[in-house]
Amino acid sequence: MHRVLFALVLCISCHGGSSAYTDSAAKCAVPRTGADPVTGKLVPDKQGTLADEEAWLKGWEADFYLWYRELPNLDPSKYTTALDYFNALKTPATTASGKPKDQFHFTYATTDWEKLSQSGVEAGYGVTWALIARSPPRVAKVAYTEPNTPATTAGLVRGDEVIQVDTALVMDGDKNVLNAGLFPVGLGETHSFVIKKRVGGATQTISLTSAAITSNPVQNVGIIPGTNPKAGYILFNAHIATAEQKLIDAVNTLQAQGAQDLVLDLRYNGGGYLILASELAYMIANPTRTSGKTFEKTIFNDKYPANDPITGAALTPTAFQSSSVGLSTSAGQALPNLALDRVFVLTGGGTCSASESVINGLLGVGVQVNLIGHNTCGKPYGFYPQDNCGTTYFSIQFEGQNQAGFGEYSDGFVPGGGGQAGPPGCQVADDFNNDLGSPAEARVAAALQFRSNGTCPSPSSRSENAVAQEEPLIVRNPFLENRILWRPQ
Amino acid sequence: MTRGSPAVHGWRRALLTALLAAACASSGPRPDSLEGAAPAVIVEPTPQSRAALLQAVTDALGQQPLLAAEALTREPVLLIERRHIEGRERALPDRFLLFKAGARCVLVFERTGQRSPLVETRCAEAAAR
Repeated sequence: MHRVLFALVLCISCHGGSSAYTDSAAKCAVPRTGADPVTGKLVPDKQGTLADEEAWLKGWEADFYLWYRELPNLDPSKYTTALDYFNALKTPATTASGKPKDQFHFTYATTDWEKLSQSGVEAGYGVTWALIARSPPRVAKVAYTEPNTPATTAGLVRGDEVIQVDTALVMDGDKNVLNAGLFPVGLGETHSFVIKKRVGGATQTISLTSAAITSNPVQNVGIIPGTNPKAGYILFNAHIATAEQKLIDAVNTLQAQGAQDLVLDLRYNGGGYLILASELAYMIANPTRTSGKTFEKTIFNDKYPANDPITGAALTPTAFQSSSVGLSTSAGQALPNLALDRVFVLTGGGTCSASESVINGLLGVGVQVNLIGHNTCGKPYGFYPQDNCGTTYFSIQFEGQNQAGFGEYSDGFVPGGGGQAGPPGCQVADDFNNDLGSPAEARVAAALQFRSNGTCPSPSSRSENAVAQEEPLIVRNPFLENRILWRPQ
Repeated sequence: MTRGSPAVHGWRRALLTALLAAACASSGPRPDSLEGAAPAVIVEPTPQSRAALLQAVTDALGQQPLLAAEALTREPVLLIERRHIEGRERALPDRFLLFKAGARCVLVFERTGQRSPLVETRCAEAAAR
């Protein structure tokens, strides 16, 4: 809340009359009363109108939206809810590939956004599902599991296919039944699953009960068998606080084992703490490249060229972080370093945000970043979420740029695509027939081939399951996913 | 990592910080004193000890987070963050540190220095990793 108040003070002091929209804050068509059920604090809502909520949204967007000059001039009276109005209140521009320029304009119910948990802990079974085909006939498989969880106890492994959840066939069954079973929202929920095993193809029925699962964001660390010179592998799935110590441990391990290259698997890493991305990039690159250089600088709209409009802090570039910041270890430890001049990054559509910052930060200081997999999600942007009338709004407010001033990859980084957003590499589909980190897994194998001779595998040489499929949607942290996970039939 | 390693020294620095905060906030002896305390982990957690931990964290944060059953059993730090972490998150998580002070297990909320003795909880000095 102090952040919000500070922002309001800044708005008023910087823009005088142009910030009159702040007068509309917390004036709600349907005000909440009493205490917020999550925080226990009194809600600030006052009786207002839909027009008040729309006026606040319009002013907030005009003030902070990165592309505020491109906002459409909407007639608020044509919208029946603030949410509908907000959804339309974004740039209509498209990217070079024809995608909407703004793909990250969304909301949460504030009571959902406020919820807290122990780092890496969420209700679930310990399995991350890959939704490979989201329209009937749908296909869902296991992307990966967390050790010592109901999922591993039941024997689930990567590539196992879900045939049925409770009474619904995945292929064409009731999406509400599927969502409820695959993504439990509470603890102690039990659901049954018919699973077709990856190995052997047998079907079996299992039952899973949701629990508070602690995820391990850094897995399968080691030298890839058969590589000479030795290539290390790290599966890094989320930039959460617990990852700090685990990444340090991983780099120390690979150093001790003599890794001379790194295959960094970010295919399922949707981001998180940006400072962890900076630490990881430092631990990968030759320090002669990163010393005194910018990992990422943050650019707000041109109303705020010098200061972060929310915190008021001066906009100073984020350096490559050479010591721990103390997320899950003590602060101030010198970080280990693989001192590499090149890295092989496995990517997918789920490689997003802070993960893309790792790629962009390294590119900015001349590290040869080779990408193997699918285009990344294309999110060089960030937000300061803002609550109003029980809804928390997310609207793009800043862009991250690297040392070279590059940050325009809204179509994602494209393996082998050419140009600044198309580093060398190979387009290779995800391979659910093999374990992550295995030299037989299609993306790892392609990385090793590319490392060996600079060529990509031909489509026919890839495993059967790794071709001719759409890039899977990886569903993480479904606890708060508001969107419909399945496309309508 | 061994005891005496940079990480453990770091926890001891955190303890020093907590002690300094306590000294500033209080004049005279307190029942939750951290004098002679060491970073600790919970051993043999029970429903009662889990409830005590959850209550202490909830009191400090003003809301109830989701904790793992094994919280603070492996390392002396408990990290609390939003259940949904944004892709380019700039805020940092909250941290709680557990210390063993004599026979007591004391939870320290790093942001405020608030100390909460955990009832019905057994803890032991954090072992080398």
